[in-house]
Amino acid sequence: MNPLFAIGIYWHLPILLITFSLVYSATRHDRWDRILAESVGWMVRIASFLGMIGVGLYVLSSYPAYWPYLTGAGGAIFLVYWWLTSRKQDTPPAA
Amino acid sequence: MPESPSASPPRPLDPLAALLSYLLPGLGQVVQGRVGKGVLFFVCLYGLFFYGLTLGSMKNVWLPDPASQPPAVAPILGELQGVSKAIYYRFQFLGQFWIGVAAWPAVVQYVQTDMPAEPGAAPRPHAILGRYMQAPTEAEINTLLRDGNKFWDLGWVYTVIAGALNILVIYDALAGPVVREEEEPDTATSRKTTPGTDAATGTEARG
Repeated sequence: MNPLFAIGIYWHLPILLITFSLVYSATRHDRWDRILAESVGWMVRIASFLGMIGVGLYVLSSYPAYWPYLTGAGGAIFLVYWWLTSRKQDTPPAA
Repeated sequence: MPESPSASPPRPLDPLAALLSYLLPGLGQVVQGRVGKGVLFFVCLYGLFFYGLTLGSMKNVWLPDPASQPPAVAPILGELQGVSKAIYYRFQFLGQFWIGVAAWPAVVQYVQTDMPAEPGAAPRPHAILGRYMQAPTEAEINTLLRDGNKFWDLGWVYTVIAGALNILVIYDALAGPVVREEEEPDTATSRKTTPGTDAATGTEARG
């Protein structure tokens, strides 16, 4: 089995992810459509964040000799993501 | 700067609902008429708390006996005694406490359990609760840490998160959701067109 999935505690994380997202979103809104939309957003963000860290650690442990290139590639991806998101925020809303 | 005439007045605080939501997550919201949200809070938070408790073999929510612990000295408070000393050695309970009634057995065990004089011996089970949420012996903790495959640690993290999330639920019962419902710009037209809007009051339908 892939060592990333062999550790049992990872299988319990979706419970925490779903519960946290739903409860946190429900304390911010009263309308169900907004609660569900925000909770889905939180689920995606948290899962992406944890997933990126997990994949990064797995790749680094599998290919330890290439860590400078992998770290550089990760940094470049982060900078592109940051640039794209900051561009999106600067765009004025359509009239 | 003068306030906009369309700004709605602040929602009055509801301490009773907050207290009820502390006792049982979501109960305050149910009393306020937000039944769906109340049930959501109850199912999610009790589910998370007892899931964590089960992951930890039902032995990760407790308060230790302060008399059997070494002296604890805090920077400003000095030497700690009693409950503060117990929390010093089991700080997780500060988060777990906020889940409400579900964590009270640990308080009952802390108050009523007589710890044996000989170190390492298990205390006598409580008449009603048995060993539920009673302080485990050092040998039991060592076994859980050694053989638990990290589940014991993961379990207490879940119980602490459940308690911390209930603080947000208590605040929701006390003062309402963080993001307030917007005022409708034109109630006459928006009542007909906006889905999820209460036609009688012009406010959004609530869970």
